[in-house]
Amino acid sequence: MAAPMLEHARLRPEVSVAPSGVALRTASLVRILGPFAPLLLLFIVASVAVPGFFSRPNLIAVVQASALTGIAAMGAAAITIVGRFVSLAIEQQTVTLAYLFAVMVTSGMPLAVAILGTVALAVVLGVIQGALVAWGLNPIVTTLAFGSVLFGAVVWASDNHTITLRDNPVAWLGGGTTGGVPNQAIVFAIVLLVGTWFLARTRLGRQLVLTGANPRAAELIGAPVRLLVIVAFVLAALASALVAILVVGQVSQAKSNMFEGFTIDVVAAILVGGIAIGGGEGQLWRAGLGALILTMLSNVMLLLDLDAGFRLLLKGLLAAGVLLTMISVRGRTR
Amino acid sequence: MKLTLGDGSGLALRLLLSAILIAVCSATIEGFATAATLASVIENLALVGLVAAGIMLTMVVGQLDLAVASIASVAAIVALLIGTTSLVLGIAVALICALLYGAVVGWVIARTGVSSLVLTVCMLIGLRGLALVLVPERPAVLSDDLFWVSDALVASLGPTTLLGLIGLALILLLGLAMRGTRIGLMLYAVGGNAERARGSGVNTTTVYMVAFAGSALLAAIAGILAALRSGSASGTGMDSFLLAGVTAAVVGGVSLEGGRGSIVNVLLGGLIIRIIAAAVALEGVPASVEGIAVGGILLAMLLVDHVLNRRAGRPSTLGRSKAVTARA
Repeated sequence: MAAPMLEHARLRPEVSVAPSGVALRTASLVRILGPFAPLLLLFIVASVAVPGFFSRPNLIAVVQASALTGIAAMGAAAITIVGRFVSLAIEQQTVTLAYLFAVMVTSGMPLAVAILGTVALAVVLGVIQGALVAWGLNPIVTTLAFGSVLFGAVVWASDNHTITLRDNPVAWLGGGTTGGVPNQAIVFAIVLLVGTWFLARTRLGRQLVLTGANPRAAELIGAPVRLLVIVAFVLAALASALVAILVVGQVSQAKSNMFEGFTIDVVAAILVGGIAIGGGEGQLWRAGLGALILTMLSNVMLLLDLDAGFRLLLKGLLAAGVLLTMISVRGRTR
Repeated sequence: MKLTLGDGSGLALRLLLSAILIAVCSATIEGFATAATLASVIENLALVGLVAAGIMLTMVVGQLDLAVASIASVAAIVALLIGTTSLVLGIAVALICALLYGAVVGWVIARTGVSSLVLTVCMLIGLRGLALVLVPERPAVLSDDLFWVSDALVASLGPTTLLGLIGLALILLLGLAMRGTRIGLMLYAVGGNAERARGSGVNTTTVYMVAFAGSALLAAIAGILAALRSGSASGTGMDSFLLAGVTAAVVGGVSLEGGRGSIVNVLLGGLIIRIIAAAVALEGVPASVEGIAVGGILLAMLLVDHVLNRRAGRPSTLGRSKAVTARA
């Protein structure tokens, strides 16, 4: 653990082995900027070397494309932080919520009711998964099964039809821009700020982190560990609901394959963002950062004419690389 | 009464469940109790069984390989692509690559202590990408002059087809090897208690490498057989292998905690799933119902096992696998 050591050295500068002031400032600067280094490096290299990257429309497209994955990944990161890795049902729950929202809007309900209904179903889906996992079931296998049941049910109930919205009351939110910035990106930024504040400054957020770091200790000081696991899954489902509403707003329809591969994107964003998979490290924004890095990389490869397979291959290798790097760094500082 | 699904004593229970299912389906579904259904059930059981047997290898050592479906896809594509010049060479290359890949993954997991769930999810993503790189637009296909292979595999042979027999024979061989060889027993020893196994001189790194290499090899065999049967292999065509394989293993009572699991129970687990799938297909209900059924069975089994273990005062066998609790 490098962080406490640095803190210690800063408090006692007279200790001869402590690094000099300049070195220290550089060290803490590196520590703060470290996570952003890959993003900055990628940005600079791409701006210089890839024609068409550094242009306003392209950069806006990058931010817009990362917004959906970023929002869902920050929600799902709550599950990671509380120590239960991730839900493999993200794709399926987002499709379910998108269908429900589209059905409610097309049946002529007021927008507020449609949103409330979608949020309510999200809470239910989150509570079911969270309760099962909190009870002691394996999160990965349980959510794999849950996702399969959920997706089958939605495809069955909708008869695999596409639902198209004639009047789209959320088109401005999903597809519009404010001052040239896509509204999706603004929502992404808001979720990023609120999520970071929630985890660092609220009691519930800190209890989530503690539970992930040390469930025994959390239990001993009276944190409701099971409830916290449920809360984490509900947060992930709420983020999915937000994504569902944004996408339905953007494309004015709901269909069963609209989120194909979404779970993979979300998991990759969490891993590439460098969130400790064992839990107990409270940095939701890292998931958003991971989404940005991956989208920027995809964008660069698209501009370089590399096809979807290459992008996916690189995503997997990058995720594995970050994972193994983090583990080896930890191993050395432990 | 000691009624648990997590150990070998559940054999009778599973046999009973399968028998009831077969009886109910035969009685209520027209055209279920036919030789054609039997042949198809056994043939598909062989494919799912191969994948499930591989997953079981990793579960027995207390880990879980989530990349099996992607491995099956890549192996099938490699076999068919090289197969345009020589099918035997294609299959050999695909199987050797799968073995090497699995050994490397097992080595990394043993050496770094990384959670196998997380690492194999990364591999799932990467291999799916690799499959799409190999066949970016249309699926790889078996060349016309090799269609006799496809025909031979689905040719009727006794109660099933050649494909079914090959698959079942391989699965049974694996079962014998797990119970009768040194390395097979080491798998159980490491899964039961890694520290103690290491203390008594078992090389855990080798054991992990064997488990993951075996899992990749079996998934690759299943993928290649499925591709030869249908005559084509696409990048995402084998996605259902993961859920079906994990469900068969869990229904078969393999413990996510490691150290327990038998091939006969896994086969029965696979049989239960395939009977339901066949019933769904014959009833003419939408294919999405199969997803509901298989996912539902998996959820139900997880719950039943959890409840039974709680009642017996033991920690759940399926609850927190080592793979999940491993620090990463």
